[in-house]
Amino acid sequence: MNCRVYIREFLSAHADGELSGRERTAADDHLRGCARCQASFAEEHRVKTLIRAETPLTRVPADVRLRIRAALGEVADVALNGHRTDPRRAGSFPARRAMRAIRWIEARPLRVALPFAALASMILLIALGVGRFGTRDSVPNVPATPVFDLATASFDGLARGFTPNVAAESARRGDGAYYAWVVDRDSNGGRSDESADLGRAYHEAGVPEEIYDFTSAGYGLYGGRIDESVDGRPMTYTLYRGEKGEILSICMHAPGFAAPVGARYWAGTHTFFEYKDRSLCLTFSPAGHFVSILVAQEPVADLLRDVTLADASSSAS
Amino acid sequence: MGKSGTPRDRRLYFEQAALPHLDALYSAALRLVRNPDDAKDLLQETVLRAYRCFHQFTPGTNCRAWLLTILYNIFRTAYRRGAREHVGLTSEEFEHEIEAQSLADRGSSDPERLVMERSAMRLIERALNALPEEFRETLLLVDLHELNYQQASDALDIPLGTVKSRVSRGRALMRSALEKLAVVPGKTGT
Repeated sequence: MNCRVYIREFLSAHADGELSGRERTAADDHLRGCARCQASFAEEHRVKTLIRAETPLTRVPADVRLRIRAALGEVADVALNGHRTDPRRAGSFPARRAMRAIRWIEARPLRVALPFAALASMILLIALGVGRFGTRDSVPNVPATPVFDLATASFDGLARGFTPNVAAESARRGDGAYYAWVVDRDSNGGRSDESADLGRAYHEAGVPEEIYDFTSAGYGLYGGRIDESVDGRPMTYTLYRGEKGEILSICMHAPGFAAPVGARYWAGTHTFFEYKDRSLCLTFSPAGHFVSILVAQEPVADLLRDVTLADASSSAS
Repeated sequence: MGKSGTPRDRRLYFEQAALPHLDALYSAALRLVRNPDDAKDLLQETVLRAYRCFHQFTPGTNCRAWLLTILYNIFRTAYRRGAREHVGLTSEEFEHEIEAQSLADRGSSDPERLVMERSAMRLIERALNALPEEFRETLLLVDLHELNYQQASDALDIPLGTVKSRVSRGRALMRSALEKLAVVPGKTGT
């Protein structure tokens, strides 16, 4: 391969990770021996990164969000009750529909027999150590669990295209929107000012401050989001990025939720699961019926180790 | 959940999967239709169509890419005719436009304005706005929204090879524009 061919045919796809195995090998071989193409490759990456970092997303106006939620409610009503209204007009009753969603959430029956209090007691009894729930063969499979489905779907949707929306200053404007938080993408993580500000923003929004220090595990804090869940309550997403991939932390209000069977490990107040090719760490917040779920691609034993390290780091600081 | 849940479960799952991408969809819609009212309508239509077709979404795949594909489909069928007639520089016009902007910057006697115009964000915005539309759309899908080439091909309804060539040509134009507008790759950080 010569420089002309590399630049014309391979450069962009190489920078985007779109080359096939053989093409990539050929492109890598060429780059190793060509300083000029190495510089072009670096510039290509730079332009790509600049576009990603310097093109802000425009926040959807609050009234449009409400209109969309209300319209979704109308469509759902048609499916549920068979009566039809025009979804485009549904925005005039957002409050009523929000209340209906809240009533629905509050009325949801316990899906799993093990109630929260019993689970919390059990976790407290074993809170001082780390352990495994039997061997892989002896542990039952985790049944379909809606909260876990939400968590894994959020991970798949957000892990790569994550856009933080929480200000470092944790200021909330009159219209309910948060200032955009400019992420320090070169941060090496740690218990930085940003993580303290993020925790404060979560606290002010009424969500537990679930910020982990995964520095020793090789993940840096990337940013946080505060969004509204279907019951109108705030929920948070916090993303950590490292060479091994991403860990997404989701914290939400889930009053009727109890841990499913099939956990692989426990460590302190955390319970670890393998679910749909993802590793999950479930933690119940002591107050307010919030649950925190960490989702990662790495093996569940690695997630156990990383969370344990993060807890140790947090205790030491 | 998703495909097998009750309608209410389905809605909950949809909201959790799709609504985090509203800002990305709205930003894409604004760039396509170029006015907030149409962008809001396009966004709402996209979300509602996605909800009705949610059984076609494969859990574990890229929800943002799926939603953007729906948005572009609606745009192509319902909005394009009215929205596109006033845009679309050619590559040659793009070079002239960037050259003209660069000359105007150099001739400016207002240092404050110059600093602002040369911030990384403003420079990227100026270069992107001047970029021929087919390159801009493709680059934004790949670089901003982080779609892979196949997903961008699906969203834009163009062959994979066209995505590849547009990305390559679009980045080359951006690199050239940023150099002319005084952002030298590797020396940004403003």
